[in-house]
Amino acid sequence: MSDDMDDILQVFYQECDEQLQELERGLAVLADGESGQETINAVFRAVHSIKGGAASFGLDNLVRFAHVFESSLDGLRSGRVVPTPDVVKTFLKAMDVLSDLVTEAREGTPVDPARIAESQVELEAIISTGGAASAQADIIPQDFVPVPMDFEPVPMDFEPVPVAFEPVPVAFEPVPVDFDFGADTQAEPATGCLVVTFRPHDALYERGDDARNMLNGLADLAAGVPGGHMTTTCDFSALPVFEAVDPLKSYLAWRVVLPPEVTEDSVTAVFDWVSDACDVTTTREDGAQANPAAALLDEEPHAQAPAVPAPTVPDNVVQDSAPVTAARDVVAEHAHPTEPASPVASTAAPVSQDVHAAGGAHPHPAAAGGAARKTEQQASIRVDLHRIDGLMDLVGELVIAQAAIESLSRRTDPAAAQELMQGIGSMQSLTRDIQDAVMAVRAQPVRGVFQRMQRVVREACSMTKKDVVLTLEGEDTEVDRTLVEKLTDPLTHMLRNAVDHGIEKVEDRLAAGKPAQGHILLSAGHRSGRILITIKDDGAGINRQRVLETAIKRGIVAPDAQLTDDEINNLIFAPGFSTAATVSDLSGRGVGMDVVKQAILSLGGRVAIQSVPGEGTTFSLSLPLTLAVLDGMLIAAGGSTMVIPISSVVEAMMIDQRDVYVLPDGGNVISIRGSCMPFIPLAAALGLAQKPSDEDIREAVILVVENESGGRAALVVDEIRDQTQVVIKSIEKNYRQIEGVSAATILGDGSVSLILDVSALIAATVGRMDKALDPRRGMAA
Amino acid sequence: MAAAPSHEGVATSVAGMAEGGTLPVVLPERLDTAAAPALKHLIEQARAQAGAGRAGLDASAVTYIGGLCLQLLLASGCAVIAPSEKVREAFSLFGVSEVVADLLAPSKEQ
Repeated sequence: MSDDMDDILQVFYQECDEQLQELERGLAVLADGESGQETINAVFRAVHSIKGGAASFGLDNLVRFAHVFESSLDGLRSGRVVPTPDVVKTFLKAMDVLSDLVTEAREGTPVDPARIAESQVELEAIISTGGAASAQADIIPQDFVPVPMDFEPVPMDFEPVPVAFEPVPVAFEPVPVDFDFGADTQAEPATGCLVVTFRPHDALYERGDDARNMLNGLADLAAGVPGGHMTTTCDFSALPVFEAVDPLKSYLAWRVVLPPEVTEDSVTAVFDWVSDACDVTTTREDGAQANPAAALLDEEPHAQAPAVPAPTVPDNVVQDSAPVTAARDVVAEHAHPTEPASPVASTAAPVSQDVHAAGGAHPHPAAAGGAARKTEQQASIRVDLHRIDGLMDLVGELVIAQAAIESLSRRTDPAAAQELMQGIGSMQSLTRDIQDAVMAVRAQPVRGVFQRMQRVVREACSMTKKDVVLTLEGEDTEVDRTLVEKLTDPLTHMLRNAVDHGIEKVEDRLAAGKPAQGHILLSAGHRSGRILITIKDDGAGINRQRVLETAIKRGIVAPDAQLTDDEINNLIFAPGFSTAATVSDLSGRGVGMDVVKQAILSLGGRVAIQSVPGEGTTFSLSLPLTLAVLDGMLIAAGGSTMVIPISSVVEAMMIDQRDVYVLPDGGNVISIRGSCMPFIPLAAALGLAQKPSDEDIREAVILVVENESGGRAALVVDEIRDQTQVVIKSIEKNYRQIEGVSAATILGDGSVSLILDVSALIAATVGRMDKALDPRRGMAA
Repeated sequence: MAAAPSHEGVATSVAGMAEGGTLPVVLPERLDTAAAPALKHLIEQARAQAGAGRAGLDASAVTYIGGLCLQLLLASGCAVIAPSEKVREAFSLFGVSEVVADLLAPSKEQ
């Protein structure tokens, strides 16, 4: 059963993620000043869905906060609250808290109560500005009651199954006891009035709730009975003199007498959300205790202290106290006096626990204390059904193609060979289609990661006291799931850096004639078979003078080094580089950008920086679409077959010897249609052969290749063999990193081939050329 | 809502001016948990202002009273002046209508 519940819980968390995304999207639209009713409804629905689901699982903290959030959004929905930037900001903050509470429930990472309280107070301020909305806040418990009840039967449905084979079916008598509060109590009304006493703890108020809400809930119960009324007595015996009153401590207790028709269960429901923050007892006034377990909680008779209930230990009573065992016995005997068999006892146990929920136990396994418990979760993705259907169709076609090839291969006539080749051809294209379809299944929009970045920027802003807006573009760009996950950390760090170091302080911005509010654009898109992610800020740009000074001070470059602007920009990725005068909470430890670069490189990506002083900095991350397969060109160099990613190849041509020029250091450049580029004999660059002679070059083929920042080079290869899809196998994992080689693959003939890292090859060659031209240069890689 | 029968007869303390002739301190509209610390401060000021006399709190604008602020009002012993309908309802809900009337009885005679 718990497995079933865990599954349902996992689905709930997935839905929460989706709803949070929906919420983020809606609030982003509101923040842009568009307040369409549809958007507001979507935002409201998102919070409402999370609240509803959380209530089903008894995730108290989540429900409580979501309710306040929802109430404040209700003000927005009804037009009482205007979505001013401040209001939206409060909502965004609340969304972060809500998201953390979901994480708390899922992973057990506790959320700072002060943050929850702070956000709650802000939300309540919005509720109160909404005027009439305040009434909404008063009906908290009523609002949720039906939801957990919907789920209640689930465990019970499963419970009876094994017992159904017991020879004595009467053993099931007790089950209705738990559920009969509706019909049976009316047919046979309890005789005395129901007396509820409760004393709120400080915690009740700390979490933004109020004793008033409980009283309102009880009053509604009384109002639900024809002619019924409620008598409330306040016990202020614990209230000290005014000077000694701590305004945030709870001193009062209440005794409420409800009409006889009101059931214990409905009272339980009223206190369902405050069970751990309130001492509650429920008794029938005339002593006829209809509910044994509830009576157990009433350890002290009211005669002694009518309005001051004895403290109860809500969550442990069932397990620990002796009287509860008695309660189980009572239920068990009532169920089947002659056979106190184990099935009965096991059925009775949840019953008594259920009944006891009035005192605070959560009926649900997932609900332990409303706080969260850590669950092992399997990674899973949600996929559009049509993608799966498409895949299934392709698999069907593959089966047909395979059968066709099989029958063709049995034929011996000459035409068969031709047809066989055709069949294999179509099988190849099918395989490719299937591969695309599988990749599409794994593909996810970067939206999830991007939207998380809104929060990163918000938090960075609040820490640095800056005002920065993050605009997202291309969130629908789809990337392989593994990439999506691995992008979060590097992006987080880069955005924090952009806020902390990129965007200037408000006064500096104003002095520079810029708007006070900084702007960061985070965009994604597909570009020539890769994903290009850019982070563009409108800050001050990289202070190259300072970067260079720092790099020299840290010994990263030689003091007399002459570096290009681009090289200076790239110094910020050097290990141990940091220009921050002090280490801030946010960034400035000098490990960040280095780690970012490593992370991107390990994904097969590249980082490029463009920075214009006074106008801002743009970081471009170029990443492969997938980490599994790439389209490559099979080439031969130095007697080895190697793979060059097709995405890097611009063109292929035969060499015209007249276009090759020799540089003073012995290196070559080639002029192709008027533009010069480094001329890299591949075999020699990889150390597989000596520098080729002019004779060798004359017969060679060149491939013009390009790196992400547009730098080109001409690779000299012996021949081009084929173009094929290759499966990427990590060479680092299986061997070690090799400069100029990004990975390896296994070809159709079973041989291992290296996949070349074009950017690294260009960089290495250009670096060598630079050094050769200017021996004083010595920049750390 | 089912109100206590005592509700109808309750007139907390209705006076235009607190004892001693000082003007009553006007209570804010919303006396919820967040408002409790400020309310204590306000009452302290009112009491200091009233000196030996009895401080008056003008509750005519109050629309919401929560449990914590109720405690402060009860402990203060101040006269609650011109309570709004919402305040009366809240007192009734909290079951303190009679208590409030008793506690603040002297001010009725003003």
